[in-house]
Amino acid sequence: MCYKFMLKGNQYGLGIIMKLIIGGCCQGKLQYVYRTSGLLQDAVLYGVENKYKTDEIQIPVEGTWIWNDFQDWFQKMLEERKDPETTADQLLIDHSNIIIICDEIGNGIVPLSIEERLYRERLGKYLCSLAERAESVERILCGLSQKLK
Amino acid sequence: MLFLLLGGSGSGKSAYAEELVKSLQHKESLYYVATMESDSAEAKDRIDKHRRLRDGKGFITLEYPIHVENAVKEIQSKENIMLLECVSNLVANTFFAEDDYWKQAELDEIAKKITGKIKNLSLNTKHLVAVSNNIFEDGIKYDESVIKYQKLLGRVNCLLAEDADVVVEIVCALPVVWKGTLPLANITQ
Repeated sequence: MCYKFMLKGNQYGLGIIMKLIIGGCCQGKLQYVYRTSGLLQDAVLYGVENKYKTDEIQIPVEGTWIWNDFQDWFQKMLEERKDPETTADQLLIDHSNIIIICDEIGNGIVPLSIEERLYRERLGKYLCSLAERAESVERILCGLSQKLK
Repeated sequence: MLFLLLGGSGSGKSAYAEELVKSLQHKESLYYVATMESDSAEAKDRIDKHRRLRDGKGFITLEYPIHVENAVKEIQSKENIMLLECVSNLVANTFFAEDDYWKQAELDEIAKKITGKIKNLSLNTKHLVAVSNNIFEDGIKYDESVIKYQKLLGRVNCLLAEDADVVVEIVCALPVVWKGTLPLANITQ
C-alpha cells in the first residue's frame, strides 16, 4: 500500500527522494558525499556557476545529483530579488533524486545589513522545510557524520 | 590515544579537556602545550591566569606557538598525558607567520605538515588531547586570507579526526561524541 503510494507519488513528482547534508564551512561535506554515495564530480552542481543563470538550473547528470554550496545559490537568488524557495521546491518536484549540501550559517552574530539578516533567516527556515521532506539529514563536523534524521 | 575536542568559543571545551586529562591520569605526568602567542599585555594576563589555574592541577606548561614538535624534547618519558590547546591558534600562528613558504605552499600540504606535527606529539605521549575550535558556522564571508585560514583549519580538523580515536564536540560544557567512546563516563563538570 505504502509502496504503491510512493510510486504514484513519484509519478506525479510528489514523492521526494532527497538527502540533506549540513554543517559548517570547510568540514569536508562534499568529500563525505563522494565517499558515501559513490558519485563523482560530474554529478555536482555548484551553488554559483557562470554557465547557468540562478533560475535556469541545468541538472548535471541523469539520476542522482549533488547540489553543492546550496547557500551560495540561495543568497545569489535573494540578491537578484528572485524567489529561491519556490524555484528550489519546483526543482525538487521535477528532479528529486538529489543530495543537497548546505553550509550552516546561522551560528554567528546577527548581521548589520538587512540583506544579510534576511539571507540567514530565510535560508534557516528553508533548511527546516527541506529537513522535514528529506529522506535523511546528516550534519558533518570535521569529516564525520551525525545522523539527525 | 588521540582525543580531538571541538567546540565554539565559551563552550567549556578547555575546562572539559582538563577534566578529561585528569580522569585519564593514573601516575603519568601532565603536560600542557600552550599555543597562544604572548605578544600583548592582554594575552600575557590571560596566559598568566590560565597558567596559575593549571599549576594547581599539576600541569607542566610548555609554550610553543608554532613549533609544537619541539615540545617532545622537553618530556621525560612517553608515559605522559598531554593537552594541546589549541589547534586553531597553532594553525593561525603558523599561517599568519611571516614566512614565504607558508604563503606559497598548497593548503593541503600545510595542513598535512601541521597535522604531522600533532601526530608526532601523539606518538610520544600515552594520551594526547587536542583542542580545536569551531569557527565555521557564522556564515560570514571573510576576506581571502581568513577564508584560506578557515579552509586550512577545517582541513587540519578533518585530518586529525581521521586519525583520532575519539572525537568529541563540546556544547554548553556537555560532550557530544562523534567518534569512538569516551573512556570514562564519570567526568563531571
